[in-house]
Amino acid sequence: MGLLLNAQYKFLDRYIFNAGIRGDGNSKFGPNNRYGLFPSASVRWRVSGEPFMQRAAKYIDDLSFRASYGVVGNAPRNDYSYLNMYQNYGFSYLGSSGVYPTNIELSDLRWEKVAQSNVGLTIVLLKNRLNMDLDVYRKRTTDLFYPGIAIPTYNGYSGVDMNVGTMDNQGWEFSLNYTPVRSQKLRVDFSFNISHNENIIREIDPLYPRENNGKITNNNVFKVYIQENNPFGSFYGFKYKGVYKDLNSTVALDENGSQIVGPNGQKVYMRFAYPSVDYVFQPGDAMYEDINHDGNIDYKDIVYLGNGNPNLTGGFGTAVTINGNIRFGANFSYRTGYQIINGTKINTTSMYGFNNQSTAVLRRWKTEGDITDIPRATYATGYNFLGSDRYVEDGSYLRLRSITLKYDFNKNMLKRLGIKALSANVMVENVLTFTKYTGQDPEVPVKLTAFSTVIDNSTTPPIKTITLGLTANF
Amino acid sequence: MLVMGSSCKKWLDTQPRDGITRQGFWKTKEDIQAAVSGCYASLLAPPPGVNDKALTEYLFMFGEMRADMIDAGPGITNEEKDIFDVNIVESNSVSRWSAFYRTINFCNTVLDYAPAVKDVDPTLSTEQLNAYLSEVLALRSMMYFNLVKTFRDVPLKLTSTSKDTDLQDLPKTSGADILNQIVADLKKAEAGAVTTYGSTVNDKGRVTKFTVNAILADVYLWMDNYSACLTECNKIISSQRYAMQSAGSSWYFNVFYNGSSTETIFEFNNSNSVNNVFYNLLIQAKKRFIASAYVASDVYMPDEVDPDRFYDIRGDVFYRNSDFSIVKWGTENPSFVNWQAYRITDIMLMKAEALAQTNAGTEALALINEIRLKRNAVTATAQTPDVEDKDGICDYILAERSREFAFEGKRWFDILRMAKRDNYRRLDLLINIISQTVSPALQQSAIVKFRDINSHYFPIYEAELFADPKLVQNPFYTK
Repeated sequence: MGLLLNAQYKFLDRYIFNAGIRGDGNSKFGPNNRYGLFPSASVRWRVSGEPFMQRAAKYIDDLSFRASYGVVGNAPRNDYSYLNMYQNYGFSYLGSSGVYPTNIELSDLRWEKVAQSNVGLTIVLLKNRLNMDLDVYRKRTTDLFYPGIAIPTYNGYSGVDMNVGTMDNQGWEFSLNYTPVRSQKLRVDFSFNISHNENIIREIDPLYPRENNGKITNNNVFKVYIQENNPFGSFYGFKYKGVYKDLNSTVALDENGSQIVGPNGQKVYMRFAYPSVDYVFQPGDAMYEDINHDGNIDYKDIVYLGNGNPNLTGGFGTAVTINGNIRFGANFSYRTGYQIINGTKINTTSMYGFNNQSTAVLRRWKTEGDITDIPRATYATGYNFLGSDRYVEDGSYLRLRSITLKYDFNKNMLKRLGIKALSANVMVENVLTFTKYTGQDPEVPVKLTAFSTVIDNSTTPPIKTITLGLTANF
Repeated sequence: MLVMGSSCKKWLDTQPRDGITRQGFWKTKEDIQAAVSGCYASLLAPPPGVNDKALTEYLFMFGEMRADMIDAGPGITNEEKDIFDVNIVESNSVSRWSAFYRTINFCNTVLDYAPAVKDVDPTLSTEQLNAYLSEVLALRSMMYFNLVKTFRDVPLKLTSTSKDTDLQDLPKTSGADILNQIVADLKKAEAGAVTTYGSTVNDKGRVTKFTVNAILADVYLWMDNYSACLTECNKIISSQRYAMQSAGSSWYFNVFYNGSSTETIFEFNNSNSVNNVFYNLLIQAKKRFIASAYVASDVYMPDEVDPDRFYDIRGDVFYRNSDFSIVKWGTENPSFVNWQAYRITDIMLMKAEALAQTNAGTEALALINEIRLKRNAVTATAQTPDVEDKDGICDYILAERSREFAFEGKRWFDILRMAKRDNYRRLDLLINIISQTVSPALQQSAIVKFRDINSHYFPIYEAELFADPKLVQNPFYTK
């Protein structure tokens, strides 16, 4: 149930204000927190309309500053979750049906507030031939909901819904449109845009889990940690150094590179996860970097491997129109500054189960002295595909997304045929991709949460298509 | 200007249709009865939607896995195998107390809100209210006693959690303090509990005065308070309501399969409620636990002369000699054999243990022989300790308990109780069982671990430590 009040005011054609306020009441909250008040405001200042900008009027068509701020409230998904409810056990004890309290009363559950603020600049120059827009935004979610956060079970319950913290989604966007040539015979357009977006946790309740599930000492696990004021997407793992080529190379080394010798003069061999797993590395096993030089590969040896959130995303393109009836266009899109975990490489080189493997396993380690980058085959055992930088690759790419060519037939010629308009077009999509990524397609969906990583499992890529079309109007 | 909306304050105060809120509950004495039944129900199974094992499964595992009478079956999990090998870490998901605290919270809810019903319902008498409160007080004490035996130091929560503002971070309380609290609570419960509900099934399946006496006797014996233990045992024995049944083909059928026999003082009644959890644990093809070889060789030794004619009636019906599966809790799917919490033989043997420790060895031996006679125990398992030999008589009691309460979740606690007496004078009782079920490669490290007495208790599960910064782990598991 809500009430909304909105007002807009324009003054002198260059000051535009808009303000609104919304009051919401929701039965999903306890009586203390049922009502919320959500304001919003925006303003636009057309600087180019100011008297002091008159002289620049011939160069600058429009220069405006934009700013806006608004708050929206979110309610939890389930009704009645704030009430202390009693329900039946489902069976009776000695003929008397049992009733138990199912959940605790949430007197302190509050609205999740999302405050979006935006600052922007618009510049139009050269008689509307050059258009530029720049926006910087931040969407701050406070009192973030988390259903079922783990509480100590001596309270009788294992989870409770709570407001847990503050999260920002912020970034900037820039776009540009330029028409260098605009005449009857020829028109050329360029466009370009670039943007950056990231999610950052600002504040989080201490009960919120701090890392993703999964032990780094199990195969195929990358660790993700919640860190305040750090953007999502970073993941951690081991550093891969190749394969132990013989028994001598499995001896543990100290910081100076000399072999560690035990108290009785015996050689100390590299171990994995001593003392819980305590596996001694064999020749042919994957070699991981022993960061702290203690002869033991465990959670203390993991390092930052990369971040799955692209630094910059965008596209650019051009359109050329000749004589008004031949149109040519090309569009590119790109993403840079992020790392992908090549999940397909993990699955096809692990040699752990029955799955088909890639031909890379033909060059695996087989006898002592082999120098190669693929470890030995160990069916259902071993630690040869731990989460490490062996599978992490730069996912930056530049993709020629489409080329189009359109031809409009001459209207006079068509009149004789009784057709009002006729055009033919050819469109080629996903033409070319320039990338260093060795996997199938670097355009992996980036859907990051606090605990996820960007893993490429070679889902169906965008296909190259050629479309031919003919449009006729009668 | 744009205006939209409508309002009414009361309209937002909606109540659910499929359950009742705390404000709508606690109005009549039938409400208290339903809540108390809810506490009993929580002993048999976790509430709908909660993903946890049943309390009885934890009672079985905590009481048997670390001892010498069960072994790993084909369906054993890696974590359970680690417990057999004395290799428990704080990430072991068996080491969880959530099921016990759930029941404790339900009992605390009754204790907090039931007294107020008296102001609303005039048909509720003080005796009836006190009877209900005694029931849940006894159940809560039994839960805390199990927690102390398993974890030793645990958080003590005596108030319910009904609001998010009730949530608190508690530190551990020492086992000794919790035991004192339990004794105080049970004394209160004894005053208010009924002696009978009018029906046999209810007398065995719900808490009566004698249930409270039985739990008190168990607690006093754990605390080495022998005279108090004897007082409680005698209260039960002299009531003459409980007696052993005679040996015969129907013994198992009466005492276990049907339940609610004259032998039972308190049981968790599955027969009229819901099936027990033991088919999956003990009977199905991928069972997790089987009887250990020790059971066949030492616990139920066959008679040397004529094993087909003279045999201990218990050995036959508790486990199957052919495949070592444990059949005590039923072989059918679903099985409804009740979980036996206390039987009269438990009281008799507890009394014998207290008597042995207080220089009344003759009487103790008499009790043991009374049980052996009734159970057709074979001469091969008879022992003849001297009446002055406390340790010898206690060893005999330990052996007889292994026969009487096989697979009832008592073995580990019996050994631990005897071993820790007099400052762990008899620690070798624990060391001796290692060779029965620990993998040979790990036996040496197990012996070393058992010498640290903190290792005799389970660690606090790691998720609990993360959620409550005031909880400190058992020092053995932080080494």
